[in-house]
Amino acid sequence: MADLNLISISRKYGGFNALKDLDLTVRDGEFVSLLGPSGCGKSTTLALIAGLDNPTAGQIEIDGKIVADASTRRFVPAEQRNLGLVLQSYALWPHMTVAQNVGLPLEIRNVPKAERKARTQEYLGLVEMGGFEDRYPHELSGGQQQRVALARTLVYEPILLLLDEPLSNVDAKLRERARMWLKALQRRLKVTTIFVTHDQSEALALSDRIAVMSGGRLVQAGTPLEIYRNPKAPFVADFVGSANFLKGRVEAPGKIILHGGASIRASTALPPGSEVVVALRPEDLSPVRPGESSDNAVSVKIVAKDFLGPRCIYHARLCDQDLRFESTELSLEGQVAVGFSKDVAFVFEANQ
Amino acid sequence: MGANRASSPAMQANRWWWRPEGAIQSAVALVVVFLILAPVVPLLMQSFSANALYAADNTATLANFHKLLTDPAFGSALVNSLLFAVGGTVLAQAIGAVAAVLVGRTDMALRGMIGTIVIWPVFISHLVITTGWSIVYGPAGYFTMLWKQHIGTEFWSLYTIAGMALVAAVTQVPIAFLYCLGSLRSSDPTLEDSARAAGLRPMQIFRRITLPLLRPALLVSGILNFVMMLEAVSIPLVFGRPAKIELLMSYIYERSISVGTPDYGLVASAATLLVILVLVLVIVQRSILKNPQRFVTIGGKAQRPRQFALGRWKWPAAAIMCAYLLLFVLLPLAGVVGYAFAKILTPLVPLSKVMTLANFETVFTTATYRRAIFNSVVISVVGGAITTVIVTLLALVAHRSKFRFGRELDIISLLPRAVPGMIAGIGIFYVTVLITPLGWMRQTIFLLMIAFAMRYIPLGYGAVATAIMKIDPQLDRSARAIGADWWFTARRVVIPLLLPAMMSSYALLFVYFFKDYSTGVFLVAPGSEVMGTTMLQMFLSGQTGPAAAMATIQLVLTMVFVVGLRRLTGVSMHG
Repeated sequence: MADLNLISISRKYGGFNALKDLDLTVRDGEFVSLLGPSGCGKSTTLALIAGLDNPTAGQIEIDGKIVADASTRRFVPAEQRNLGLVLQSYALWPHMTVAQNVGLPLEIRNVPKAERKARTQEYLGLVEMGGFEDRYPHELSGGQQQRVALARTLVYEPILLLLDEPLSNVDAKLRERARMWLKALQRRLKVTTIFVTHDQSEALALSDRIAVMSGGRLVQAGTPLEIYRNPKAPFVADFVGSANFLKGRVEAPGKIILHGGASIRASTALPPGSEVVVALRPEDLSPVRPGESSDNAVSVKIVAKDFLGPRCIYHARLCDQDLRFESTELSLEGQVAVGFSKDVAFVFEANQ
Repeated sequence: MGANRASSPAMQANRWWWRPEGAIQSAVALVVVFLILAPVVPLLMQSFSANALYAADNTATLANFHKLLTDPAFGSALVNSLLFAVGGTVLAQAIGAVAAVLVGRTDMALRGMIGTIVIWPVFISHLVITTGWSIVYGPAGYFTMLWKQHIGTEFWSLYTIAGMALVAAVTQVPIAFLYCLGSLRSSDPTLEDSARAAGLRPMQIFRRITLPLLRPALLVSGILNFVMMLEAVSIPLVFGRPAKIELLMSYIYERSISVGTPDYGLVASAATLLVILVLVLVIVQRSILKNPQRFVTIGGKAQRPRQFALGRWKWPAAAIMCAYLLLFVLLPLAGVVGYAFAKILTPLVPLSKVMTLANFETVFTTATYRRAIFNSVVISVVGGAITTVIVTLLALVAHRSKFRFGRELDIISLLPRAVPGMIAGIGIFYVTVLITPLGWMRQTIFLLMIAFAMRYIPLGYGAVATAIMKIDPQLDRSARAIGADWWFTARRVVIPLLLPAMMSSYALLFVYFFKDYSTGVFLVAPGSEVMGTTMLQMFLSGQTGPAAAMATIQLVLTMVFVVGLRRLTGVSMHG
């Protein structure tokens, strides 16, 4: 098991920057997710760590050893890094049985036959796939293939486990179970894990830390709670969870006038006169009943609602800006007052 | 457990050429580049040289091209060739497309059998088909004589451009048929379903949706067929020569093979112009293929397209197709086989009176002919296998490695398609003259193996490359990630998955090596005869009987090999 250090790595394809100056440190045994929409550079990052691709600038250090250094053009090939990579399609070799798939990495490492068999059995047991040794991949379900792929990767005890959206091909209903199971397995083996996903709920549920990426850059890295509660950019606020964005201007320290006239209180260090965007999560807003008080209360007009069972999402207008909010009250209508704490209003400089 | 936990990633420079994979990849690239450029480069040099290439004093000149372009015979040969190729291609595409639609998308009667027989000409040498046509429909042909006896003067003549185009079309129909059938079979049925839901009737769907989706297949196979007709040798020699209609290949043949002192410069520059013409066509075809999403027909799910009901046309359509196959394919073949067993083939004498095995006796008792059969079998079996290995490695390097010239290799591998067989033969011959250490090859079948390998690399490579592109690259990526190097990944993951494609590539290469008669024209020497060129000489010098016997032997051997290989691989394939 090892720690990982990405030192301002970039990857250019011709004139296109797939990845730009990424710095990230992953500690031994940590579970870190790379989260972002498609094209944000997360899979590129994974390929660079794995050695399937080489950075055009920067260094990669695994377990204290530099495995890629763009300045000297020295790269350790993928097969010599001793990493484990599980791909989205699982990439089980279709012409080999489950046991042959899992046994191949051991064969490459010249593990004697008897031990090879024992370890194959052991790891198939670990992923609850004992008894499937002689099946071919096409005879397995998506979830089973995923577990065999994981066994094939774990069997040679890689120093780093790289997972590229491994849950996206599992049925939606089984995904939650697979997620729990993966998390428990990782905690048990304490293997340093890099997990690539575009699914924020997966990242929030699994990770010790999340690295949110966009447009080839790292936007914010932190624990799931930090990312959710303290987004550093509008993109993070919107991509992790969801957010309303209200335009406004700082009137005085702690006071913002929204376009349209409503005045709210929120903490910001920006000087008075700055144009700002205020991010508010729908779940942080709630209707204010007569007699209740809140840091902020604004009057909105409900224009539509999505009924989700236990709660509703209301689409409302605040002056001329859109605002969504959630409530367990299922039959709000017309003009209502909506309140929120000043701590949940994230203020960003406009045009950031 | 944990035996390899400590295996530390060794620091190493990125010397790609020094690692074993680099060595293998560079070696493959070198072999392929040599094979591909060998016939072209000397030809180019010769076309710009004042004297024969091996002459000591040589100066660069454009005189050859000037002489060629001012030769009226070349002009008329070019026009004739273009007329012939255009006519033949249009016919072949029309017949092929109709057959593909009927077999692939309708409920025509007997469509299974018809579909099988339509592709037979692929396995048969053009020379044999051409001769068969001459035996049956020539001025003294069996069918012509019958017609004259009972009906009157025949209304056709094969000794015209139209007649030659018809024969050429018959040889190339299978290509159009197979491309169209593939496209029809893989087309997404939802495209038609949605047209139906939008209110279109079956005939409208067919005209508005199905046929337009055939366009790329028709265009691509059309260019392929056009090229093959430009480089056809047998038809211009068998039909064109007696009628004094000169085509490009017979123009070159007349001025090189059949004269004492060939005008090398003229021949080389004619060949160069032809190569350029074909190259342009191949590039056009590639650029059509490059933009296929306009015609993407592959759906995600494996659904079989629906069949159009022919109704009361079910049997008449089958009858028309059967008549085509009987008259244009089977009868000429029967003519060749019949001629092999007869002293003379004419409706004036009953067949039972002229039955003989003498032609086969001649073939088996003449040392040259025996050797030709033996050489052909060896070249096809061994050479085909070696070429299959080469194209497989080429596909691995071009598509599944970080070899820095992979893309260039992929493109250059198509070049031999632009070099007609006879011309490739001239080029390879030059190589053995220019590179004196290779001179020993001139009397051996190695030279022919190399020539055939070079000529058919695109064919074998096509089969393997399409298959390798369908193998998910994540399969190799995960092998690399678990610690396998490039060569191990190739051996244990990619090649096993490629085996079926390698087998069909081998079958194709065998058939084409075996039936080739034009590449060897310049290369055969006493001792290295092959069936194709030997038969060409026999037919041209009037020994039709023994030639027909040899053609029959060729047909039988081809059938044995193709059926045998199918049996063999059919058994060994699983999963």
